[in-house]
Amino acid sequence: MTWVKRFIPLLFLLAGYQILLTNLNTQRSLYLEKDYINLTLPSQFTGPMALEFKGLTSDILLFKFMTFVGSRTDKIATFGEEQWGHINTTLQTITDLDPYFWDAYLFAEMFLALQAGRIKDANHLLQKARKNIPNEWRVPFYIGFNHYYFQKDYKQAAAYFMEASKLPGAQSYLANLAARLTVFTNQHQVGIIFLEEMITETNDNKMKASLEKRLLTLKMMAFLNDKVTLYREKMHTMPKTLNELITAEIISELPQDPYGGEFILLQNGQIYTTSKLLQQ
Amino acid sequence: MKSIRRIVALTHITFIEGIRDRALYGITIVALMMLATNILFTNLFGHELGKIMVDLNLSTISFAGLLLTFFVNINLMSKDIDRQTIYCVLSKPFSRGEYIVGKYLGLLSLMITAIFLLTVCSGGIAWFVKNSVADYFFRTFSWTCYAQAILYIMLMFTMLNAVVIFFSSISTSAFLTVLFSVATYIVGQSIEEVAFFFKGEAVTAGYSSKFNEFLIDSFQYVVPNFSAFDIKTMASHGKLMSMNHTIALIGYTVIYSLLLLFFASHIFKRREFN
Amino acid sequence: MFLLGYLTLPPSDPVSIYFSHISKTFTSGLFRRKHVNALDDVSLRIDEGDIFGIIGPNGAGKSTLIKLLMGFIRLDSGSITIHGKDANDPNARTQIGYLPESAYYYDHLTVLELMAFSAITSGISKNVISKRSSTLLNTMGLENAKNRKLRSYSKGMTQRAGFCFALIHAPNILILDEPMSGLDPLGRKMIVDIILDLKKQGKTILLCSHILNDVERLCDHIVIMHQGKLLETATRQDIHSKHGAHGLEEYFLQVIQGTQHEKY
Repeated sequence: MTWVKRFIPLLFLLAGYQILLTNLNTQRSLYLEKDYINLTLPSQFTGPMALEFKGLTSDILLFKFMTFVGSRTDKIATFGEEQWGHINTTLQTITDLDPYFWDAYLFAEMFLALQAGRIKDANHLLQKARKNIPNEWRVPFYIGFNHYYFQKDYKQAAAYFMEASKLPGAQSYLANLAARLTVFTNQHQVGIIFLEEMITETNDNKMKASLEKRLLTLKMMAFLNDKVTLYREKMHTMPKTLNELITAEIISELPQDPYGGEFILLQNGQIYTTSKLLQQ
Repeated sequence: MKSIRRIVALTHITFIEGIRDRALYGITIVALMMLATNILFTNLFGHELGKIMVDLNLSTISFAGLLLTFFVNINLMSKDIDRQTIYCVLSKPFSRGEYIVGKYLGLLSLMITAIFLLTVCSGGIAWFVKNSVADYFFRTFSWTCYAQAILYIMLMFTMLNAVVIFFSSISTSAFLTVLFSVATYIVGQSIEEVAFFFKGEAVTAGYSSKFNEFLIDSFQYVVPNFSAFDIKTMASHGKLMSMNHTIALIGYTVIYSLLLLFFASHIFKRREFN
Repeated sequence: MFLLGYLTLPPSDPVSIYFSHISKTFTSGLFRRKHVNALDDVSLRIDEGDIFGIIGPNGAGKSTLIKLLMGFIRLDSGSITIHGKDANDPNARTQIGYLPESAYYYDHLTVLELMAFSAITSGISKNVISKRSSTLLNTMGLENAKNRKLRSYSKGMTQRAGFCFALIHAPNILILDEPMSGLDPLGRKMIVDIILDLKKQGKTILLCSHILNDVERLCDHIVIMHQGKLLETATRQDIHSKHGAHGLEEYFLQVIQGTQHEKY
C-alpha cells in the first residue's frame, strides 16, 4: 500500500508538468510566429566577442540565417525594410568574421538581389567576395548579372562577364555572352543562364521550386520573344498583340504565365507580364 | 645531469596528478561528445561541409584546452600550496627555479596528451564524414592546414600555461590566478584588433592622441598576442600560413614563455611557505 | 642547566646541523602590520649521530626552526649550515629525509610513486629503488596497500607512507616533525624501533614532539623552546640524574614556568 502512496504525488507532478509544458510551448509558438526579429550585432561587436572562435560564430550565424529564412520562404514576398535590413546585417557580419565564406555570398545574391532587389547591398557583399575569393567565377558573374538585369548597365555587365570567363571553372559561353551583350537581342537569355546556375546551387527544395517557376516564366518569355522576331521576319512588321502570333500561325496558343498574369507585347517589342510576382 | 633528473621526476608526478584528476575525465568526455555531435551539425549546412567540420573540430579542441588550462592546470598549481603537498618537493634538493620548470613541463605534458587525443578523434571524425559525402563538399579541405592549425593551438597553450605559471607564482588563491589568466587571455585575443583599429581608423577619424598610441604600444609589448595563434578560419578554407610566419611565431612563443618562467621563478624564490 | 660552551665551538667539527643566531619575525596585514617574533637569536648545534629533541609549548618556534632549516622560509638574520653547506643551497637537502608535521601527500599518487620521486630526486638509481621500496614497505606494513592511491589511506597509513618517503633515499639526517601523530600504539612502537635502529646506523635525527615520553626515551640531547627563545639545553643523562627516569615532564614544566629568569 505504501508504494502507491509514494507514487501518487509523483503522478500528480508529472501530470502537472505535461499540462504546463504544453501550455508554455503554445505560448512560445505564438511568440515565435509573430516574426520576432533576431538581432545580429554588427561585426564590430561580434568580432571581438568571438575571440578565437570567429569561424564558428560565422557558422552559427549562417545557420540562424538559414533557419530564419527557411521557416519563412512563403512570407519572403512580404518582407519589409526591417527584415531585409536584418538579413543584410547578418550577411555582412558573417562575411566580416569569415571573408571566405562562399555560402554567405551565395545567399546574398539569392536573397538580397533576386528576392529583394536590393542590388546595392548585394553588390557590396559580392565585391567583398571578389576581393577575398578571387578565383571563384560565380562572383563576377553574379555582379555582372546584377548590372545587366537590374541596373541595366550593359557595359559594366559585359566587363564582369569577361572577368568571370577567365576564371577556372567558368562556363564557356560566358565569353560569348560578354561579347554579345552590347547588342540587344534577347535579354531573357541572361536571366535564364543565371537562374539555371542558381538552381544547381540550391539544396533547399522550396527555394528550388521558386526559382524553377521563375525560370519557366523567363523561358516562356524568351520563347515568345523568338516568335515575335519570327513574325517580324515573316510579316515585315511588328505584331500589335500577341494574339497576332496565333493568327499568323506562328504559335498555336499562348503559354500560361505560372504566376497567373497575362503575357503582353509592349510597344517597344518587349514581352511583359501583368503578374507583379515576377520582379523585373 | 642531476638537475634534469629532478625536473623530469617533478614533471612526471605533476602529469600523473593531473591525469588522474576526475576533472580531466569530465573535460575529455565533454570534448568527445562535442566532437561526435559535430557530425550532426555539419550535415545541417549546404555546401562548405569541409569548412564547417574544421571550424567545429578546432573550436572544440581549443575550448577543451581552455577548460583544461583554467581549471585543471591552475588547480594543480594552487593545490600544491593550499594542501601543502609542495613540501614533498621543496624538502628535496629542488631549487625554486627547478620547481617552476618541472611544474610547467608537467602542465605542458597534460596539454599535449589532451590535444593529441582530441586531434586523433577529431581527425577520425573528419575522415569519416569526408569519405561519406561527395568530394565537392570538402574541396577546400586540407590535412596539412588542419595539422598546422593544431600546431598553432598547441603553441598557444604553451604560452597560456606560462601565463598561468606566472600568475600562480604571484597570487595566493586559485580564483585570482583564474581571474588574471582569463583576463590576459581575453585581452591577448583582442589586442591586435584594437591596435589595428587605433592605428587605422582612429587616426583618420581624429580621436587618437599621443597618449593613446603610447598606451596601445605598451600593451602590445607586454600582453601576449594570442590572436596570432588563431588560424582556424584559414585552415577551414585550406589556406596554409607561410613557413616564415610559423617560425616567427615559434620564436615568439619560446622567448615570451621563457621570460614569464624567468620572472615566475624569481618571484617564487621570494615566497615563503608557512 | 645549560651547556653554553658547547654552543660556541666553531662549525668545522663533525657537526650535522648548525643554527647560528637565528632570528625570524613574521609580518602580516596590509596597513596595521602585525609583527610576530617567531625566533629570537636562537643558536643550536646538532652533532652527527645525535638524536636531538626539540620540545616546547605551541607557538614556541619549533616548526619555524624546521621550516628555516628546510628552506621553506627565509632567515631575517643568522645562518644555518647542514654538513657545512648553507641551508639555502638546495644540495644541502640531498642528505635530509623530512617528515612534515601535517601529513599531506599527493592524493592521486601511490606510495610506490611517492617513494620513487623521493629517491630519484635524491640521486638514487632506479634499480636500487625497487629493492629498497619493497623492504621499506614491508617494514612499514604497507605492502598490501602499495598500489592504492594515497588519498585512500587512513591517518596512520599516511604517516607511515611519510616515513617511507623520508627513508627511501637512506639519508644521513632525518627531520621528524611530530612523527607519532596519528599512530596507534603498535605504530608508535614500530617508529620507535625504527628510530633506534637508525641511531645504530649513525644517522642524525632531529625530533620535534609534544609527547614527552617518546622524547625522553629516544633523544640524546633535548632543547626546550618557548616564545621564540631557546631556554634550556640538556642531555638525557642530566635530566635523569636530576629528575629521575621520567623526569622530563617535571623538568619541562619547571623551565617553562620559570621563564621570568634570564637565560644567560
